[in-house]
Amino acid sequence: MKKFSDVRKFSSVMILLLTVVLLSSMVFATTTITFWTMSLKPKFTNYITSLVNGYEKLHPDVKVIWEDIPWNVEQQKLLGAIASGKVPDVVNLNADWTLDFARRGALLPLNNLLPQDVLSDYFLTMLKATSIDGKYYSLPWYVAPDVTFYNKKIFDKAGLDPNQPPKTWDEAIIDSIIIKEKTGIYGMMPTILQSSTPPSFFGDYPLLSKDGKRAIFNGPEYVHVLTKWAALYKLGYLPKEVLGKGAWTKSTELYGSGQLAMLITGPQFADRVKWNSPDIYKVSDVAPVPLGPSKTFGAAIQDLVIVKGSKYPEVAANFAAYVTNAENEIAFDKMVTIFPTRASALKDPFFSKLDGTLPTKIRVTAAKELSHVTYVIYRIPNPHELFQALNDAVSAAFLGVKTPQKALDDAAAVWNKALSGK
Amino acid sequence: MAKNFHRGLRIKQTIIAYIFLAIPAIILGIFTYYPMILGVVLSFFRYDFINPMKMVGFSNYAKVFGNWQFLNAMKNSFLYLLVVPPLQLLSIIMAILVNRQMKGINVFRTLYFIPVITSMTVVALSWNWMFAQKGILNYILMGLHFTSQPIGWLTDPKIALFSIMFVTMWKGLGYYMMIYLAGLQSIPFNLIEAAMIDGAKPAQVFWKITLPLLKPYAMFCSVVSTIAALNVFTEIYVMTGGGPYHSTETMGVLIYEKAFENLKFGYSSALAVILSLVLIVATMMNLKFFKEGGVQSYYG
Repeated sequence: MKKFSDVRKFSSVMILLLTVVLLSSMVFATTTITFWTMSLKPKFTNYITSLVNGYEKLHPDVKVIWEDIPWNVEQQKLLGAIASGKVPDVVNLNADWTLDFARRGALLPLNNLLPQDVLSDYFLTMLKATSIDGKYYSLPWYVAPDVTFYNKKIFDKAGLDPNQPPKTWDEAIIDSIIIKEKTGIYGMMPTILQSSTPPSFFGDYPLLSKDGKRAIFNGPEYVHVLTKWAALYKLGYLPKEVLGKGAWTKSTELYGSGQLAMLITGPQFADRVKWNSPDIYKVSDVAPVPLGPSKTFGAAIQDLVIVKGSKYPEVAANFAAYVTNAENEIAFDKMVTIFPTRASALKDPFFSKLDGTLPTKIRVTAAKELSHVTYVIYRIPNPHELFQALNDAVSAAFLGVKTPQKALDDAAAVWNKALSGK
Repeated sequence: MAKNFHRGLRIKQTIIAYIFLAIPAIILGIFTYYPMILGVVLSFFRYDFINPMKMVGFSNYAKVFGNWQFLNAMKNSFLYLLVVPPLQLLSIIMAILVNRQMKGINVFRTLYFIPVITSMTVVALSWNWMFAQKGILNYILMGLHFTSQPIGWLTDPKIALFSIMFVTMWKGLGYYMMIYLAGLQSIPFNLIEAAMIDGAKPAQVFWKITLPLLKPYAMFCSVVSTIAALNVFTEIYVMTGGGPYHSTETMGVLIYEKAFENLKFGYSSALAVILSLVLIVATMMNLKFFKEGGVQSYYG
């Protein structure tokens, strides 16, 4: 009898609890949005959870469901979600993927979803990096402009002044030759082949004619640049893995093992060198990335986008703006060596105050570079395939399969065919 | 009455049997046959998973055959078949070596099998480091003065594919060794004994008895390893991504690249359909080649 009364009591409590939960969800959380981040769990679980909780506190009628997706499957998962019609509302993508999805009409422009004063606080160059025809398809979240780490001990051994790292690509080439000749150690290993941007040494030159209808990268100055870099490779002044997969990982490994004098990479990789190779870190210094004549370069940006098909695009955009507001960006940037995308956030003394330590110097050096960061948008069909053709030209010239002229001519033919719509 | 009862029971049992058969058939249908059929259908469309599908007829196939990347990938996939004969031969030799009763033999069997259960990604990354320009392989070879310059195991287009083939072989040996070991242990000892009484030497026993009786196992191993070789993907994707300059790009890598990097799912499906046809032909050739043999051929 007692048992029966216990069951009844328990059932009544459960029903009451369920009713309260249902009612409260009906009263408070009428809008549910899904937020996908890219490989931020578990390192940043607390930070993202605090963002979600903070937003829900400010907007009790909104429930944010956070899902962290591994970067290597995010594209496939998003494609699957779009095909099934059940899309996440806010998604963290890199700039390449953002542009790719935007070109295919899978994202919503933010121009009408957010007030102009909010949009104008972001660096315009970063907003434009993923814009098409004046429509902004993402809110930049964080950015990592490349810097040059260099091993002062190797510079010294090669007879170079450790306080005078190269300022231009030509100086970097000369220093690399001297370092290899004097010490047998490679000077640098830049990430030459990129999946959807031009090879790094073409960064200063336009790839298309002014009307955008013809590839012009098979002209004499381009052939000259490619010949120069191909000669460096053939003569053994660049590691052979520079053409391989994961060249940037390999360059960090080589630098960490003292087999590379200069590491040109994102500032966040300094931490990797610090943890894995403390002895190398101790003899390292940092300098701005070598620049070409135009003094501009690209940088890796992480974006937040609103997916077409979102039931609450305004709420989603509002949440994306909250995640990327100055206060939240600065908090994130203090946890890892990344940089803000809002001008108001960059004003924080955290990004300009030097205290004589290497981590601070890295931060300040990279922060200063943000003003040089420029992004060129190529209005080309199938960018991945066309940049693959350009990468093939570089590989063929480096490996001696084709002459630089022939390699660039072949790639230009592929581009011109695609540009003509054939 | 009893007759009706038995009939009813039989019908009931038959229905239950069909239900049990239907469950895996439905699962197979959903997860294997439906995607297969959809893949064939998709090969006649242009589709990027975002915009609506557009029927393009045989255009994807026409583009495939006019593309040098396809011909190159097909050539590399066929080249990859070179891994099959040495893999089978070495597996048989290893199976014979571990097919004996001696102390600690299980340790060796386990050691040879460990690469099989190791994740291919881990294996590929480990070999990547060993194959590096400044990796341990070059260090040893240069230390022993076999070469004065580091060998570009994964960076020289002429040898990169063969380096990856070696990894495939290294990882697969234990698997095929186990199958051959099972085959060796299934051979009736009286056949070997009779041959030896008749004066057969160990080599004759191996060539005339052991090898023919292993034929059904060799058929299975050849079919499986041929399919695996033509489908190879993970080790190439992790180690070189198909480079340098497409020298290690096989059909598996090209299909992935077209689908998930270029979002050309129709074109990629056309490539997959062509590869499937090649696999069917290769399997039929294997079956024809290994038709005879086994214990049955001795006993009729």
